[in-house]
Amino acid sequence: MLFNSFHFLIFFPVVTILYFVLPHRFRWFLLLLASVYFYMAFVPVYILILAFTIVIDYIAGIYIEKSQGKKRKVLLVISLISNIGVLAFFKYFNFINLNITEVLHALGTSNPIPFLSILLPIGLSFHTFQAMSYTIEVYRGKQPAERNFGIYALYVMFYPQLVAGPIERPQNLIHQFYEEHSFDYERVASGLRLMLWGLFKKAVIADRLAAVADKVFNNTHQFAGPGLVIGIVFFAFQIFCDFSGYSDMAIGAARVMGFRLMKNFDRPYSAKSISELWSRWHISLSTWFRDYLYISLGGSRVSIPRWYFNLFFVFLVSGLWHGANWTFVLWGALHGFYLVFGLLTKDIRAYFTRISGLFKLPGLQNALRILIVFSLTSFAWIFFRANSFADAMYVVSHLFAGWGSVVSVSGISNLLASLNVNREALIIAFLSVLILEVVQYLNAKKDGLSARIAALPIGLRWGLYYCAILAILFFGVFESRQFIYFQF
Amino acid sequence: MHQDIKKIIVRGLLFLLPLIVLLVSLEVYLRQIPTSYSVKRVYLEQQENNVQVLALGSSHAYFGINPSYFGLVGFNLADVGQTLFYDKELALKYIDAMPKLKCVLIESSYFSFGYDLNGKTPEGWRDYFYYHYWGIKQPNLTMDSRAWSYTMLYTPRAVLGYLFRGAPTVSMERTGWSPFEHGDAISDEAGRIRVANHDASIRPENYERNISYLKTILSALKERGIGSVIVSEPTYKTYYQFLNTQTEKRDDEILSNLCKDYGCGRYNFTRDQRFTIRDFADNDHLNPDGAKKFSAILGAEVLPRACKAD
Repeated sequence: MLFNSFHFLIFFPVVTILYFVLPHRFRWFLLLLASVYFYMAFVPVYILILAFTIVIDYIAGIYIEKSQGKKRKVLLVISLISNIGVLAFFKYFNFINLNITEVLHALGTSNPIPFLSILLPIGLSFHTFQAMSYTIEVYRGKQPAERNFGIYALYVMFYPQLVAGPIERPQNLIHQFYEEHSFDYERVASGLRLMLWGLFKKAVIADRLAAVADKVFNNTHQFAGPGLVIGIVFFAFQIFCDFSGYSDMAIGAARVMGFRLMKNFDRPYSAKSISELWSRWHISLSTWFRDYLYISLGGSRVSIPRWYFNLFFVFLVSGLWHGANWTFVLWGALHGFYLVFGLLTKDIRAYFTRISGLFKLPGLQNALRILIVFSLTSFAWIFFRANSFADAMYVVSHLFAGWGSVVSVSGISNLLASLNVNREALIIAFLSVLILEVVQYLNAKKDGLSARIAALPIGLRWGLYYCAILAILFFGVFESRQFIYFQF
Repeated sequence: MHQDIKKIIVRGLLFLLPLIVLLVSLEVYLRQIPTSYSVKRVYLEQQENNVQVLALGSSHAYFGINPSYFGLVGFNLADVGQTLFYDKELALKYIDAMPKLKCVLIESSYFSFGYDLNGKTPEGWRDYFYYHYWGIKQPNLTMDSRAWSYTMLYTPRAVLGYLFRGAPTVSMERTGWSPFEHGDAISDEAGRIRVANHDASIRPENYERNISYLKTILSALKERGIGSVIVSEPTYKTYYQFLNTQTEKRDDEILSNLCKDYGCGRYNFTRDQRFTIRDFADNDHLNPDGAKKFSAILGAEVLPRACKAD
């Protein structure tokens, strides 16, 4: 079930109303049933996969807590292997098999292992990581094992964040299922506002930009530098609005019912360094990798070469998490390289900033840094979005080609025609990105935009809501476009 | 808490009321917009008692057959993108309501056997128009929002355009024929692209189903003693020179065998040299002059043989 569907438009108010109507002791059960229904709306039989990992981790959690010494580690490993095993099978089997085939082919032989026609269970990467977070935290002694099977199942399956995060921690979420949430008008209104904003980002901005980005990336060889750059920049905003829009809808839906989910995006394209970018982009995933992989490898408390290796390795794995394709691994490797390079050149860059006098112009310095980080991020997005490595290399090698063709009005017209974009669509795209940046800027201020809107007179407030709804209705794209991160 | 719940219910209803009024108004407005489907149905049902010749088919027939030149009372029941499924459904729905019906012209294009709207193709939205305006439901039709909301069917974006610029009009004569003045440029390049598009729409898996639809039509007509004739419309050389001859040959064989079994006439005007560039609106559709010429030829050469005598 997609958040931007009529099915959800019926599902959400029904579940929410029932939630507040039911006595507190039955609410977790309602949410569990709703979450099961939500998940089964995709491919019903895949609930069995989820059930399998839930049972394993529930039992593992209890026995890890009860056990001592080496046994605890064994149980943790069993839990992690079962989770990673399911993920590896459904997500990476054909990728691994493809690579084996190519190696064997190079050696002059064939691969007897057949490829499987497997549909990736929706949200597998997300709920797997959330489940792994639970057993690791129980093992570390930071989370008591959950004895109530239903509550544990709800922790894994909580529908607002089941299929695309935020990837929650048990310390943050499980106790909330035991707390009674009363109906609070301001909180409900705030949650609905956030859902509306998320839907605006998805339907009006992301899906509109997607039409151009898809045109470019599905037909790379038809474009030169100007078209390719437009496609890349459009994709950069598409993926941000798509994913953060979903996160906003998830956080908003949970907030309506009184649940607090973690923030997942914090104006990532205003980051002034790559490390800052990763403290602002997909925060739940980057902190997961920090806490469970990076720190386990030693983090920065090792020799400098090992530290750099740890950073690079974590981003390689992060790339692989995103998709079963070498382009995703390359994307992750690029970000790992950016981070390590940034650390290596920190002193040199500080030196040049000093001697150039740029430090006297902090505004300009920040603007340059933001532009550089955005450019580096967008460059990496080429590999994330490209349909193949060959396509990605074509884009990279033609970024600076053909710019002479857009110095004339007719050249620009031809470019827009090749992108299937008319002037009106381009204006809507730019206006909506402008709205996005303004809203984010205002939201970053002390009081936050949501609180300021809540303080407006009701006429003005409702006027804003109507504008957003009408914009979604008339400028949104309703072609059942799935959220990008659903494929992970 | 009770105060908060009461507050949100009251405010929620007040907030939603204008939106509901807007959506309902849009639905009412959109249902008034004439479409080729709604207009054609009205014209057909006004004249069904008098129709002697019925024409079925896709845009080639819709623009290319003008019943005013048949010499008999005719009606053009073809439409853009109309598949053999809808030809069959419409024929079965109306032939018994036409007491004077003598014969049915079924247009067969290069892509007729291989093409299906099926809801998922770029023209799949037409399935919903047949559902709304003709009451014909394609078996695999996904009953999504387009099945009950005209706003979603037209798309809200298009509706906004209609509100500001006015809704599109339908140019159709009472015979069901629609004039088509100008389309794509008539050129080798445009013709080649057009044939490539048609080739891309042909799916082998659709053949069996479409042949069965055509058999159903021919069988029903034969049972009722109504003449049937399968016609391929004229196209210009910039189009027919790129046609896959194997596809044409296969389709011709199928049609020949069907006409042997069901006693239908078969006329192929695809490469008819009587039609010049002045008769075409684009590479494969006749303009009004071409439609007049073609319909007169049908009236003189085809209908006298195909239609049952009084």
